[in-house]
Amino acid sequence: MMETRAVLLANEAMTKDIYKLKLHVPEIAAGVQGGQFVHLQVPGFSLRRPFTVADADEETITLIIRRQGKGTSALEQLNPGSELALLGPLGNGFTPFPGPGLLLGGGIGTAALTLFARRLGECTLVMGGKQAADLWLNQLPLPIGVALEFATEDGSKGFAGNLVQYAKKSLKPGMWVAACGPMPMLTGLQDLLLQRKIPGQFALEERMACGLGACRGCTCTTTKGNALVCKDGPVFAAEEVVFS
Amino acid sequence: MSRTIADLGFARLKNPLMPASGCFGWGREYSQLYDLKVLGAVVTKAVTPEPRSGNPGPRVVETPGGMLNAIGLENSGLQGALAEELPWLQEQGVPILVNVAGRKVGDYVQVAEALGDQDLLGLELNLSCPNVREGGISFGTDANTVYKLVSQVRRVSPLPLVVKLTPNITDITEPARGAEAGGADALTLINTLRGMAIDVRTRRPILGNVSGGLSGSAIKPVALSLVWQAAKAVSIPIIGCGGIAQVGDVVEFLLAGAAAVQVGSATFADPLLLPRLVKDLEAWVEQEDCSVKELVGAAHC
Repeated sequence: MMETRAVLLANEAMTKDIYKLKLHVPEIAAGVQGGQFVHLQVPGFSLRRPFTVADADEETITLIIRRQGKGTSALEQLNPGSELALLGPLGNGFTPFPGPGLLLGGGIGTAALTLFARRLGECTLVMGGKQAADLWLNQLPLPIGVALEFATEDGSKGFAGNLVQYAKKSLKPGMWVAACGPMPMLTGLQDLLLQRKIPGQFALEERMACGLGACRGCTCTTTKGNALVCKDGPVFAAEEVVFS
Repeated sequence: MSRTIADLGFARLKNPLMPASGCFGWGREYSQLYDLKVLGAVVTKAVTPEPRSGNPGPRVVETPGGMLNAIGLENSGLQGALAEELPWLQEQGVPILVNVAGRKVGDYVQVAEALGDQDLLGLELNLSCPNVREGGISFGTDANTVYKLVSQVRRVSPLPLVVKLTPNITDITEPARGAEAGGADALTLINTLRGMAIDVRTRRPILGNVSGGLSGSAIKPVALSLVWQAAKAVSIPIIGCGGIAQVGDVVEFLLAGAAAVQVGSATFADPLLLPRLVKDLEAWVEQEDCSVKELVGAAHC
């Protein structure tokens, strides 16, 4: 983990509200695990923004970001060549289990799974969304062993339904799950995993101030009590997370 | 460097820079980024007698020129502090102010008594947290209550006492004088200002606690003015706090009458800010051919 500066190499739109930043930052790219994040400075704003590392090679990291508020709108305007301070890699990433892995990403949550999928080499990675136009996973080159699937609520691409319904259909004994997405998806998945006794890990999201574990701004509730999304997570055992 | 020595009366620090309580944990996380010994002192997260789990999330939100927080004094309690946190920090070779909070006077007395024989720079009594329903801020708004609380802690603790006051009050000089009369060795000014933010999409307050404490550049002029007023009213040293993000801010607070300063939320924008401010301040006093001590209160004339 270190504080350093990155140079923006590319800033490209992926969908109407999702864009991709490619940053040159070898000292972070070299050691980052799938599911870990960086705390990125947004010029002119008082707080940094935590973003999962969606992809990495030897010298660069890729962040996939949804335009959500003023900070993510400002980042989208940055031109290649811009320098940004960032802290990372932060938090704990996903851990592979034995057997076939099913990676389930709800919308922008998919960005927390793509680097992990690359490192696994072989797994099934499913991206869910409302409609085909929201899906961007095809635009990220991943190894051939990563089987890409899609689920849309309106049935316009891939499986017709949400990811909990997809998992109900597809989960077989001996498989394991890694997931990131909206709360209703994770609560539904947690019930399903417990019912079928299938191991799983969830990556959580929370507003953060320090990103390091000092300020206790990003606390979540687990079966063991309070935990910090930044330091104890963002990846937690699926059965540990207590949803409010 | 002798030009940067800060004189708190009860102690001299190698420089006037320290983190504000709550923004720095017990220093462990930031010690991964730099040697804590470069700081004048470390101020810890608040300690309450029993562990507290804090407020529901979201607990932090950015606002123009700053942020709101409503952590709710989450901490592992007196036993946790004594067993896990304090022994580690005491090995780092930096003076320590332990921040103490509570729901009733007895809580402050209990924590202060238990820490009395520890090797510390002192205790910082948090009479100003806006994010807990009882205690905290409710002590800091009445001069007589401040006086009673500080004098009771004074009776049980041989350690220097720094009293951290709230800006959410009509006249800061009243609790400032109350703290001084009760036996405080110094004051910290200011804690956060109460504020809130609403999500227009969900039409609900963003913070789980509804309201929170505002910090950051937005509050610097308020903090500076309160330090100025308190400096005129009391003769004990003041530690200035509120919106400090660059060396010019540090110098402003010194000129307004602060003997030292705390840096809070600006640390989140730049985790290396405190050590950089130490260097920048060294360069500033060198260039201006002056000392921190000369600057304290120099704007009053």
